[in-house]
Amino acid sequence: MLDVQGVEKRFRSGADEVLALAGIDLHLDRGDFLTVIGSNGAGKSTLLHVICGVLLPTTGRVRLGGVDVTCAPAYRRARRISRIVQDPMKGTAPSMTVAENLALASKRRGRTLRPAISRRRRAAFVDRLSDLGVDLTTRLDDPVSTLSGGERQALAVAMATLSCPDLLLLDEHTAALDPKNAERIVELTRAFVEESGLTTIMVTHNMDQAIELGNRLAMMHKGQFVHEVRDEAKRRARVCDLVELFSRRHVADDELLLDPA
Amino acid sequence: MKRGIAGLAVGLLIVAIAVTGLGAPIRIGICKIVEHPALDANERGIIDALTAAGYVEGKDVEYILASAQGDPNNSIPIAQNFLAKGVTLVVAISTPMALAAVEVFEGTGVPVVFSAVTDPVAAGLVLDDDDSSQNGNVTGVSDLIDVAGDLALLKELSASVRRVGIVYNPGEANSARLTTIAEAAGPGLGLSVVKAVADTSANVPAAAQSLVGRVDAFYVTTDNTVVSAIDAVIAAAEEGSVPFLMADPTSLRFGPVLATGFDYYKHGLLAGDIVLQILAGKKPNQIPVVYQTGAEIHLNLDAAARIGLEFPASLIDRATGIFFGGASWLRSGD
Amino acid sequence: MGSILIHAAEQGFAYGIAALGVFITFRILRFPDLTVDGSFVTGAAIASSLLTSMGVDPFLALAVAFGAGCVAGAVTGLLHTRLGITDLLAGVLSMIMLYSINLRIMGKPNISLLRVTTLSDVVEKALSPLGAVALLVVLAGLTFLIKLVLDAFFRTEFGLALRATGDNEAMIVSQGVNTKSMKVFGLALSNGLVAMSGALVAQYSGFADVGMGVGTIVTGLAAVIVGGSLIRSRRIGWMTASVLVGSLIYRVAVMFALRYGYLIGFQASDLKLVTSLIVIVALVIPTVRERLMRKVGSC
Ligand SMILES: Nc1ncnc2c1ncn2[C@@H]1O[C@H](COP(=O)(O)OP(=O)(O)OP(=O)(O)O)[C@@H](O)[C@H]1O
Ligand SMILES: [Mg+2]
Repeated sequence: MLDVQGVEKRFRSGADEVLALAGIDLHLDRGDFLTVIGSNGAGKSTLLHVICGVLLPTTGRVRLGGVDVTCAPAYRRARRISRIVQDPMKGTAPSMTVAENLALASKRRGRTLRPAISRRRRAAFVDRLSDLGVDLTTRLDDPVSTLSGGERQALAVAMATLSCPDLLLLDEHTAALDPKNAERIVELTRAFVEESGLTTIMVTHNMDQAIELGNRLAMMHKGQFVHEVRDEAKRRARVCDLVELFSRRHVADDELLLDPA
Repeated sequence: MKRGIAGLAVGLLIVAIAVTGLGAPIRIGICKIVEHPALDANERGIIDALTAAGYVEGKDVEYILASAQGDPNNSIPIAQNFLAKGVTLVVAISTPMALAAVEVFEGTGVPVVFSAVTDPVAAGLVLDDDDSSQNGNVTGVSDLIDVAGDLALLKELSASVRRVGIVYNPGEANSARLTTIAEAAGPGLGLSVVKAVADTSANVPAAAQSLVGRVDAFYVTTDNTVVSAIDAVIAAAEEGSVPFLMADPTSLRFGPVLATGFDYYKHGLLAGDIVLQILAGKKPNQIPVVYQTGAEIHLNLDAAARIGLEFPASLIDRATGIFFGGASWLRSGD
Repeated sequence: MGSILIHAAEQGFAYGIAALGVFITFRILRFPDLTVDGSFVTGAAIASSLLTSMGVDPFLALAVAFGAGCVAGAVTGLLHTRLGITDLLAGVLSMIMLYSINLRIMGKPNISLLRVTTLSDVVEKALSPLGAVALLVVLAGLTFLIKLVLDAFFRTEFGLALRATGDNEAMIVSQGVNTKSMKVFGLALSNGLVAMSGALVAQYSGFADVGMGVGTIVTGLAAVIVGGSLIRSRRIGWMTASVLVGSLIYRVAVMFALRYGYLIGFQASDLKLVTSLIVIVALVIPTVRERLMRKVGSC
C-alpha cells in the first residue's frame, strides 16, 4: 500500500542544516495501523508531510499503491490520502459552515458547478455524523469558528473519512483536546478504522494509545525508526517497556555527546 | 375665508414668479478636474470677465464651483449635481470635465462652455472648430499651444540645435497630443524629436536622465506629470549644458532657460467672453471654438548663464518677462 | 433631490460590480489585489474602443471587457503562483503594465463616447416609458443578476473550494484542491467583474479616461467594508448584498458631499474630505448603536 524508501529530509543548508529524516524505510500493507511515538523533534510530523506531499524529500522515494508519488503535488495525493492535524483550527475552514466543510471533504476531485449541498447530500451528512456518533447534526449551518476544539476535531475526523481514502494520516490529532474529548476522538478513530480496515499512521505522544491502537508500533528518534513491534509482540508491549526504550536512547545520545572520540 | 386663502396663495405665487424672473441671480456652474494654479487662474478669469461686464456676484449671478479633485470618476456626479441645481450655463475646465458636462446636459438646452481643452474636436466635444453650426449646445476655448512656434524658438536660440528631447506622460491627453504635433512639426524645422516617457512624477528623473547627451535641447509641453517634477528635467538639461524650453511660464523661476505659454487668467477671460455672448442671447452653435493666441515668451538669464548661453537680441525684444538676478522682471508691453 | 438620488443609485450599481470584484479578492480569497486599478480602465478602454471603432453592441462590449479583465487577473495570479512573486507586488506589477496596455488599447488618453450609441442610449430608447428610472432599472437589474449568479456560484462544489482557498489554504490542499489554480481563477473572475464595471462606467459617463482607474481599490474596499459593517452576516447572499449596499452608500456620499457640503461650510476643494466623513459616519453607526444598546442593557 505505502512504500517509503530511503527518505531523507534536510532543512536549510550549510552550518545550520537540520537532518529531520535520516533514512526512513517504511512499508505498510493494506489495513495496517501503525502508531508512531518519539520525542519532540524526532521527525514524525516531517515524515507525514513527506508522505502526503506537503514536503518533498531531499532523497528517497514515496510509493502509494505501487505508484511513485514522490513528486506529485499534495492536492493530487489528497484524493487518496486523508490527514488530520494537531491544531483544531487548522483542519477545517473556520468561516464556512459545518455542512460546507463536509461538502468540501466529500468530493476531492472533479469539482463541478453543481450545488455543493443538495438535500440528498445533507441527509448523507447527517447520517454520516450520527454513524460516527458526532453530535453536530443540529449545527450543520453554523460556521465552524463557533465550534469548540473538540467538536472541530470530531468534524475533522468525519471529513477525513467521508471520501473513503486509501491512507489516513493522524498527527497528534487529540493533543490539543482535554482528556475526555481526546478519549472520544480516539474512540471515534478506532471505531472507524477498525470497521473500514483503513490503512493508517497515527503519531501520538500518548503511550497507552500507541499500545492500545493498531497492529504496529514504531519509535522514531533523530529522524530514524529505532524500534518497531507488531502484532503479537505489540500486544505484549507495555508502557514501561517503551519508557525504558526511550530512556535508553537518551542515555545513548548523552554518552555519544560525552565521548569526544 | 376659503377664497381669501386661495387669493393669498395666488398672490404669493405671482410674487414668487416675479422675484425669480427679475431679481433671482442666474446660476452658473463652473467645474474643473483638479486644483492647479493654471486651472484656478482660469476659473478666476471667467468670473472676473463676468464681473467686469456688470454681473455682480450674489446679485446678478451665482456661481457654483466644483472640483473633481483629480478623479475623473467625480466628473459625472458633479455635472448631475449642476443639473439638479438648475444651472443656466455650465463652464467645464479640462477635457474629462467637459466630456462629462456634455454627456449629462445633452438635450437639456443648457449651454456648455469648455475651457482649457487642448483639442476639442479630437476629444469629441464639437464636430468642427470653425463651422460651429453643427456643434449643438457646446463651444469654448482651446489652449492648444503653438508647438511649431516653440520649436522655432529653440532654433532661433541656437542654430546648432538638431535633436529636441521631450519628456512627457502619454497618459495625459493634452501632452500626448502636443508631443505628436511636435514630432510632425520637427522635420520641417530641421529638428528631430526624441521622446522619453514618464508615467508618474516619480519616473520623471529617470526619463530626463535618459536624454542627457542624446539631445541638443529639452522641451516640455503642458504636462502636469512632468511639470510637478520639473527640477529633474532642469537638472538634466544643465548637466548636458543644453537649453530647456518649457511651455509653462509659471515655472520659469525654477530654471528653464526659456518659457512660453498662455496666461491662464487671460484664457479664463476668453471663456468668460463666450459666456457673456451666450448670456446676451447668442446660441453656442453660433460661436466657433476660440483658439488662444499670443503666447508669451519668458527668458531666464540666470539659467542661460549657467550653461553659457546668450540670448539673441531678437528674443529679448519679444520677451514678456525676464528672470534675472534671482527675480522676475516684467516688461511693460501690451 | 429625487433625480440626484437616482443618479447616485445608478453609480452605486455600476461601480458596485467592481466592488463585487474587490470583494472576491479581499474577502473571499484574502488576496490584496491591486490589479483592479488597471483592469477597471482596461474594461473602459476595450469597451470604448469597440464602440467607437467597430460600433459593437454595448452589451457585447461589456462581455468583451469582462474577458479582458479575466486575462489581466489571471496574469497577476500566474505571477504570484507560478513565479512566486508576493501578492502585493504581483498586483502592482500588473497594474503598472496595464497602464501602458490601456494606453495602447485606447490610442490616446481619453476617448469620447458622446457620439456613439452606448448602453445608456440603448436603454433610454428601449425603456422610454420608464422615464428617468429606465437606466437605474437596467443597471440595478444587471448588477443584481451578477450578484445572484455569484451567490449561486459560491454555493457550487467549485465555488466552495474557492472560498475555502481563502479561508484555510493548507486545509483545502489536503482536500484535493489545487489552490494555485484556484487563486488564478479567483483573480481572473474578480478582475473580469472590475473591467466590466469599468466598461459600464465609461458608457454611463460618455468617456473613458486612462486616469479613471486610480482609486478603484480604495472605493471598492470602502464599499466592502462599509457594507460589511452594516450587514454582518456570513451567508454569501448577504455578504454580496452588503457590498452593493456599501457601494450605494459611497456614491450617495459623493453626491451628498457635492450637493449639501456647502450647507455646512465646505467648499469645492473639500469634496474628498466630505465624502470620507460621510463614509466614516456610515462605518461608525453600527458601533455606536452597539454601544448604546450595551449602555441601555447595563442600567
Ligand atoms: N520548516 C522547517 N524548517 C527547518 N527545520 C524544520 C522545519 N520543520 C521541521 N524542522 C525541524 O525538523 C525536525 C523534525 O521536526 P518534526 O516537526 O518532524 O518533529 P516531530 O517529531 O513532529 O516533533 P513534535 O513531537 O514536537 O511534533 C526538528 O528539529 C524541527 O526543528
Ligand atoms: Mg509534530
